[in-house]
Amino acid sequence: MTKLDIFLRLISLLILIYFFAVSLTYVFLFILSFFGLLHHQIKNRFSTPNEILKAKITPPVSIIAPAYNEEKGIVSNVYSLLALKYGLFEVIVVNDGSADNTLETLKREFTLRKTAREYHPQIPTKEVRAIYKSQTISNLIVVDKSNGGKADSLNAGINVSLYPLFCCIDADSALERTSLLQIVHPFMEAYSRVTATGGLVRVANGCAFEEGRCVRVRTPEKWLPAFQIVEYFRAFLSGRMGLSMLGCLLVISGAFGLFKKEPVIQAGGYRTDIVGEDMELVVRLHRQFRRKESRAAIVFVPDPVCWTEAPESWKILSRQRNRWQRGLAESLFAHISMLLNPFYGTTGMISMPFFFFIEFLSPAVEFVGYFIFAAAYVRGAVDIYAVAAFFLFAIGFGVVLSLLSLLLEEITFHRYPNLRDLAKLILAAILENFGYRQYLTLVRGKGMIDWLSGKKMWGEMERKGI
Amino acid sequence: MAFLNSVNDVAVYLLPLIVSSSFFFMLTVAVLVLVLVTIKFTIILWEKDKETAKSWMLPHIRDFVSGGIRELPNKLFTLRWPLRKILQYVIIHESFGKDGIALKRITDAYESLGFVKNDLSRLDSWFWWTRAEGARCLGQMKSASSQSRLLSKLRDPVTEVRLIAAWALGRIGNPEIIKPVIESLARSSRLAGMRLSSTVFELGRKAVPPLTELLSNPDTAVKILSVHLLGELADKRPISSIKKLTEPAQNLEVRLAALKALGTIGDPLSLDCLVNWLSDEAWQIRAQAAKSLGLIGDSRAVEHLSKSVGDSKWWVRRNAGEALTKTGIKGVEALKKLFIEQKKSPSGKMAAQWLDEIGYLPAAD
Repeated sequence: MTKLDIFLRLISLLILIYFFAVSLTYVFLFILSFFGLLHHQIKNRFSTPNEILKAKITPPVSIIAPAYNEEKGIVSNVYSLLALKYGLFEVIVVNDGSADNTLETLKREFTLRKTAREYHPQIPTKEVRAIYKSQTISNLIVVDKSNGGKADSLNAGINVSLYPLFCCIDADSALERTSLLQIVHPFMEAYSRVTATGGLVRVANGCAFEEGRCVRVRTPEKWLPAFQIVEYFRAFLSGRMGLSMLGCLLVISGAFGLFKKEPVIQAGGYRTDIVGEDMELVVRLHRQFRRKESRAAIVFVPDPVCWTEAPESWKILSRQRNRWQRGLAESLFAHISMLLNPFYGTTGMISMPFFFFIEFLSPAVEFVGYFIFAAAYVRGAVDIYAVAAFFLFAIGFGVVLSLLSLLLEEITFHRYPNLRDLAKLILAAILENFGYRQYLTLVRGKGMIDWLSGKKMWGEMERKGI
Repeated sequence: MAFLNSVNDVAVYLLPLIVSSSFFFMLTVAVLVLVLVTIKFTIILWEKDKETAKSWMLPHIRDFVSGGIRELPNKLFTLRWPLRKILQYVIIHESFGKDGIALKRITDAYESLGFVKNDLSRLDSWFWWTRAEGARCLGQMKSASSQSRLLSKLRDPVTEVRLIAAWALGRIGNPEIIKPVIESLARSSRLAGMRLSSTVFELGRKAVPPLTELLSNPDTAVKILSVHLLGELADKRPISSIKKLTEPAQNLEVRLAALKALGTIGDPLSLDCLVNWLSDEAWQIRAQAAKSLGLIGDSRAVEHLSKSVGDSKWWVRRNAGEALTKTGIKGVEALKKLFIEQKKSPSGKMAAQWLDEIGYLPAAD
């Protein structure tokens, strides 16, 4: 055998070992998630959201909704937030220097007037031009500020907020009525220990909404958002649940998360110079707590649901995933000293390696793997069984993992009652591994290249609106 | 080259090993998928069975409860699992929202069918959710005969079981359970506090004497929980005992809980005590005292609250300002005076903020 053949064989072996390890990790996380979800469902039988609603010790919450050019949907979104079932809460809409009539629409609909409320810039932000209060709805505040991005808007909202907990939400997402009651549950169980909780994000495409509330759950007509439904099941129900069980959850979705305000202020708030500000904040909170020799309990709660619109075109999807990959890279490398560092406990030894070696590197390894195995087989460096094993992992395991996640959803929440929808999701779980995932591998690979070249743009997300 | 050859030897050995392991691994995962599919189908079949059984059981239960029949049909007594399990929960669901004679008929039916005995044996199950479920059913049925068994569950190692047992004991309605319940749950979570509130509210005014007794318990957590619950009951009887807990000799958390309770009870008898603590050394005490004065809303506190609006701590100023908005016209006038005379100072700004909240400040635009 020539040196090249030996090299190809060695790389093929390493890639196979990598995929074997990745698959084992996912199965391990799945098993953890399965038992975690089961335990959670059993515990849920013994407490209800209504009890938390009536209890006087339920902590008050400030809901912060950054809004940029949302004039079409902002009113219905605000009404749906105000209609949430919860005790004491306020809704803070932060108008991030919109170029359209977002602020005027809000002023008109909610009879806003400027207030003398003091602005405490505990976290530095871009200029806050005015703080408005609704004359018709006592718990609605609108902050008008210069454009600074989502992170800057969230920081402004934190500065204005009255309450010890804040909930970050995207203005174009829709929460279910009891979502806030459910996401606050871990704080009720262990207030002094819990720092943040994250809920489940579901794909709204195909569902019917009335006044910002989901009234019927259906799968979308198009296949692209259907693939994303399955993907979200994998990410949230299998992935995040498992990491939460290990006490090292590294990301709370920016679309729906509940945080204790004080630790976030002490950590300096959201970073405005990176695109993955949601993940980076959580990593920083872990780091901050470890340095104080305590633990940031960051918990995933699978019940509370946030409905969000998934991209329906390949172009918008690729922008989104490109941004997510860059955000992941930025967040990881901002705290690279935590990687495999035992000082940071399970965060450094499990979660950081998971995100770095699997979530971050896998597009590159998979992409290279296709070429290496093709070349190795052609040159006779590996036999057909090795090639079959590679494709089993690259594609076959993906099908299995998607089906497992779908089954998890069916056993626990069963939100798609229609058999036709279930059949579509099963097909999506299979078909997504023949083209869709490979496309995302390419997009994420490009994301890595863009990150390396210092690209910072968010890219425009076109939405129909819920 | 020698190195490469040795690498090649390792690769030749390892590659087939990894390949076979991969196929075996995939087979294992495929079995996992089949297992889960089986679970899913079992759940579907169970739900169907449940609906069918409920449709013929419910009319019998309702007839019995309404007095239409004097005894339950024999066939209900001879049911086996899973129909027996379904019957148990049909009866439990029928009890929701019922009280008086209707609830008595339901609990009689439940007991005569042997479900109380089943629930008592569930309290000894190895699985915590079975123990909790047993406790819950006994509580829902207000089974007085199970009180001693439920009291023993207050020492269960699993928090959820203790919480449910506490709730069940509250439903049964004997105020003697207050002390053991609070001592068992004092160091648990806010959920425990929430569940205790339900327990205490089930008992109502009967809970006041035992809770007042617990104010002298040496355990700080017990004191805090008891004073909090007394505040929620809003009964005036323990005010003098609660006032003693505001003294500096007490732990800060106890003092804060006591001040909060005095505010929640809302009786003007607490006024002097709260006004006194507006000048405490600890800013948390000053802030809570101000907040509680706002809850009472007595205008005699206005002069003292006005001074507190100039406190060095933001939270004290904030709470004092808010309290002034709740003490009637005198409070509002005091805020206006502060705003006019001290516009640029922290107290003037806080006054402006609160006047703005209640719509007494001219609009900024």
